[in-house]
Amino acid sequence: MKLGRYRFVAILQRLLVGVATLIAASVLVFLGTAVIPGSPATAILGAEANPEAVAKIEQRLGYDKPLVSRYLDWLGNAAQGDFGLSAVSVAQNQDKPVSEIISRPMWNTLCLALAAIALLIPASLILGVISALKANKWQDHLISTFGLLAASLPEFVVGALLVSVFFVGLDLLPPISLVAPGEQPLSNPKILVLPVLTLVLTLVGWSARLVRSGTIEVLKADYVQMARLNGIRERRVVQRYVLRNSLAPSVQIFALCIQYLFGGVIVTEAVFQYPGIGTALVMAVNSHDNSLVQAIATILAAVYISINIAADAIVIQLVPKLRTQV
Amino acid sequence: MEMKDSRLGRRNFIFGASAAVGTIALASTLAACSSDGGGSGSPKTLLASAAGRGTKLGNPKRGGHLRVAMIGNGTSETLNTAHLGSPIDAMRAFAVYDPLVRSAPGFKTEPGLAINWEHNDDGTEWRVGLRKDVTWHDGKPFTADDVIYTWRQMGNPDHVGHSQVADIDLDRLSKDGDHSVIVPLKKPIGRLYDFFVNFTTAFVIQNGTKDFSNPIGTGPFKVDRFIPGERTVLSAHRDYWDPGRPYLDQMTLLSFTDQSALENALLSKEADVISPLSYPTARANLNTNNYQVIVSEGGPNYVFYMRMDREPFDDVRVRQAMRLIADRQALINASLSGFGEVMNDLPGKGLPFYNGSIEQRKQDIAKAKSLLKAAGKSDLQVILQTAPSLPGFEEAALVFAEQAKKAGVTVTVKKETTASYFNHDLLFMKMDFAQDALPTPALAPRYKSSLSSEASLNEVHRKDPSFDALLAKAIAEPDLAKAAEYWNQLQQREFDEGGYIVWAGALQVNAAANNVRGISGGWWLGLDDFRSFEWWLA
Amino acid sequence: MKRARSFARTGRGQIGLFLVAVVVGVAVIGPFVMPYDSTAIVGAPGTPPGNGHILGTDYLGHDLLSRLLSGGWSVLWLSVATTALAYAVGVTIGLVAGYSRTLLDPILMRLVDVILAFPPLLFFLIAATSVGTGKATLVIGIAIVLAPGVARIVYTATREVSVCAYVEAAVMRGERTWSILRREVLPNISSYIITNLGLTLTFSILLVASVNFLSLGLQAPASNWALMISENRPILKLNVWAIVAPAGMLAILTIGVNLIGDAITDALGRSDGPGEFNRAKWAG
Repeated sequence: MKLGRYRFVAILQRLLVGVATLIAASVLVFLGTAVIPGSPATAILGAEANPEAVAKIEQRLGYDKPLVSRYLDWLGNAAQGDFGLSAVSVAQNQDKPVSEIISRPMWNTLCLALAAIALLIPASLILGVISALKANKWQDHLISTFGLLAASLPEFVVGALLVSVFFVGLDLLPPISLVAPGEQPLSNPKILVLPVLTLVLTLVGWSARLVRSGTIEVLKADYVQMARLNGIRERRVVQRYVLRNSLAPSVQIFALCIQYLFGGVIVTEAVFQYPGIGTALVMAVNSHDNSLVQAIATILAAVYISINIAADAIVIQLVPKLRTQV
Repeated sequence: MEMKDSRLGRRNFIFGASAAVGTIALASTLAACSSDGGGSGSPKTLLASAAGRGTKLGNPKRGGHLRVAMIGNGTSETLNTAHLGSPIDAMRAFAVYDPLVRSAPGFKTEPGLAINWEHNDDGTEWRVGLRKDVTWHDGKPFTADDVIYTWRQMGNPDHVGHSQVADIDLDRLSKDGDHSVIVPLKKPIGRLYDFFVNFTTAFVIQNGTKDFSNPIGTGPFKVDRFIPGERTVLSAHRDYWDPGRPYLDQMTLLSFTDQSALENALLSKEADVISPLSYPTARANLNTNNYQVIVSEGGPNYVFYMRMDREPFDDVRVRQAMRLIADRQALINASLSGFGEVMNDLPGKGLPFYNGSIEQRKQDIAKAKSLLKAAGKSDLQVILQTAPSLPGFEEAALVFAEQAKKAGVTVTVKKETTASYFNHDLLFMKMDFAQDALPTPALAPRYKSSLSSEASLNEVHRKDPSFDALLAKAIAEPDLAKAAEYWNQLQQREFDEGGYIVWAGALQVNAAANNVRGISGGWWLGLDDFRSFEWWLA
Repeated sequence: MKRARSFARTGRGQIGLFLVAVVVGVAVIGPFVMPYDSTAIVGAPGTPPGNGHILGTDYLGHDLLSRLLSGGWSVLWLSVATTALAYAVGVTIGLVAGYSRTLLDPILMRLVDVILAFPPLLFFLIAATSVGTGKATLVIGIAIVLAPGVARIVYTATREVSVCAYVEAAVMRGERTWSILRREVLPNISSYIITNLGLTLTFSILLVASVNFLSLGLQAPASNWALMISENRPILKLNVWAIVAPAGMLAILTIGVNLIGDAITDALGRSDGPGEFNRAKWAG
């Protein structure tokens, strides 16, 4: 089928471009970490570091090889799923594979992110549509104001305020979210509530606003006016025409929200001491663990790009017109 | 060869003398404090109110699981004694390994794995007697071979303590039976044991250890699980040599990155002990019943240092002026919330050989101004680099800058990241005017690693062969009375010309749940100097 | 543009203007009415209001009210500077890429995607460790983080507009590209640009605060509301005003700017397009 082929080609093209972008991003990270003076050697050996000792460790890490070959080695391995050994562990003589170090944090952050998304999308849709339907009335103003208020505060402030209310004030929820090794984050859902709320509150203001403006555009559209003039009840108008057609732009909005989520996770995890990938990234950068930084940053970039592609694919599915565009 | 113990009596050697000096020094500290009208800020009042806090009361109960949460060092955390670098590493190491010399409350030291230190007449050879009936976690007996192996490992240039054992002839180390080590030295040393208190050199590892992923120690706790940057699970070593100890059955160390989260952990009972507690919070909670605020007896010496080999600090008058600008008590009040002991530009207050007769330097803006004028630097402008690495650092830099204004000196405070501040490739040893914190369990190792020209931590970039010669004489002298004279002279010189502004012994403040006992404070490192074998739960 | 100015007569616009005026007023006049010197230590750190200090003291013992009054200016110029820089770069890239029919389009936009895929906080961590922490690093860093988002929006909008009749007409008239961009394209995408101005301003402020949370940011002792929010975290429980006051100011500014943005776009006859979302720069 002709349309099907175009769709397939469009998605394939985006996939290829996505891979290229991922590689470019990984090169950027590689250069970034290679350029910083200092290596895990000096971090480990501490203040009395002896230059010979440092040189020995750096040799074991392969830092004496030219940049290009180091990168290509890494790329070759990464493509097969091998992210190498943690540079800090090599410097400490206790070689540990990166995958071993990041598997738990990745899983923990995934749980956190999914929980946040599960709350964010319905909340934004509901709040956004309501404020569009009641545009410029008090419901709209209320939602707008609180949304903007929460969004104007950095995550650590929102987190601290939530802790003050729910722990110090009401003693209902724990103020930190530790997850012991071997434990599942979902086995004790209470610890997820505040971090998830923090992430959602900082985002829902914006995403609801954007759903609102998209919905308003749709509400002004001809087919909606027609439906109304034809006497169709408002509720059906909303269900059949408005929601479905504001879905396409909303997909883009939510894709961006999810991407933001992975960024906001760094600060949120620090506030609640949640052992996720954000915390791992900060530790890796602070200890100059270049291979760990490289792996985490590349994975996050891959997540970002995949979300883009997925969002594009959904939109192409929903909007026939775009299937012929490239 | 004739070995003579040139000190008091076999039982008393270092420990007896230390006790005497220790007590005197402490008393003078308290006296100095009471003269500054320090109702709000003096350590005396703080220690007094923190004193009867129940940490020492009652008979120890056995059993229980203590959870200790500390600010950690991320994935750089290690149990490899060659690379220990942060307070949490020290805490873990003191639980798993034993030191040769242990610190004890009251600025004292007591025997750890080494119970006897004798030397020959000129201090060039020592015989160290080791404790008997000590077992490793895997059941093997502790012997002299372990100590010899440990010291030889310390000789590797990548070992964090290698400069401290540079004068030991490691190749010719030998044992006399299983519990005695003969230590020949390349240069004489008057008090060899001074060099084996700090966590960089104190711990003994098992003979032949190469892999530290499942380390064996002789310490009060065994490692069940160690995840760097996250947590360490420890269980009691039931064959520990100190009878009846440890009291606890289990201990978990949690590694945190955020100070507020640490405090929340204590409040929500996910942790029983936290370290550190921020100074303002400690102040506010000293007399509440939420938790116990535990204040140490002493702590790392907080310093500003000035680079002596470049302008403007190469002129001793400029350095002296800067030292006179510091209003030490005000610095302590503002940046440590009063939790500090005023110090006199010399490290190691209260320790053996400390020259307590030098009068405490006070702020003297007029003299500072005249010194600067004489040096031609009346409108001095300098950059002071700081980092949030330790509680109170940044705040102290800002306060000092304010104080400097009065003397016409413009200090611009530049904030760096913690990661670059102590990093050799980036900023460490490259700054002209910056800060540091010096844990000082004894004078000799501290002077050797920071104040001599060949010191690896020679932040002030001193190049003074006569100073080094005097230091070498002081360290080498086996006659302790003569040694004391050398030390006095040395400290007078440091006081008159040095590049350090040692402004406070920063008291370490920690917090514990109300049912935690046995944590009495510590005097050079913090959190009871990590004597976890003494802790128990009521 | 006359239609744009009519926004000032709407309810939303007026409230927005008022809020922004209050904040700007505090920022500009504040330093002249401070009760104490903002860098002087006047009390113990973290004391609650009382004793001649209406808002108490901050984490170092400065008078909080004085810090608040002197802290607006720095935040305002910082966010304006970073937003202006981000826009200068972003609009240029977006325009060029969106209008161009050559390879320039995909190349520029893929470059934008790559920068967007790079975690911003990671970028700051690396920059701070290698280049150092200074105002220039901060401004340039934040602008780099924000610019791609701007570029994406401008790109989408330009693409839509560049196929419109009046642009084609201008091309056929032989107008130079530069003047087409300036006279035909730019005014017609202005509503998107203006709407996102408010968001971008807010995000630049948030970035300052969060960057400082990881200890990479501005130099003390400069008073700065965003800086105050993170530096006073240790004393949050001791003096809650230390964070509530500056956060409140920033919240009022955010709400005001966004209300103005809404009002302008309403006045221009179009609401926020279902355009892209500026927080994308945070992602990954």
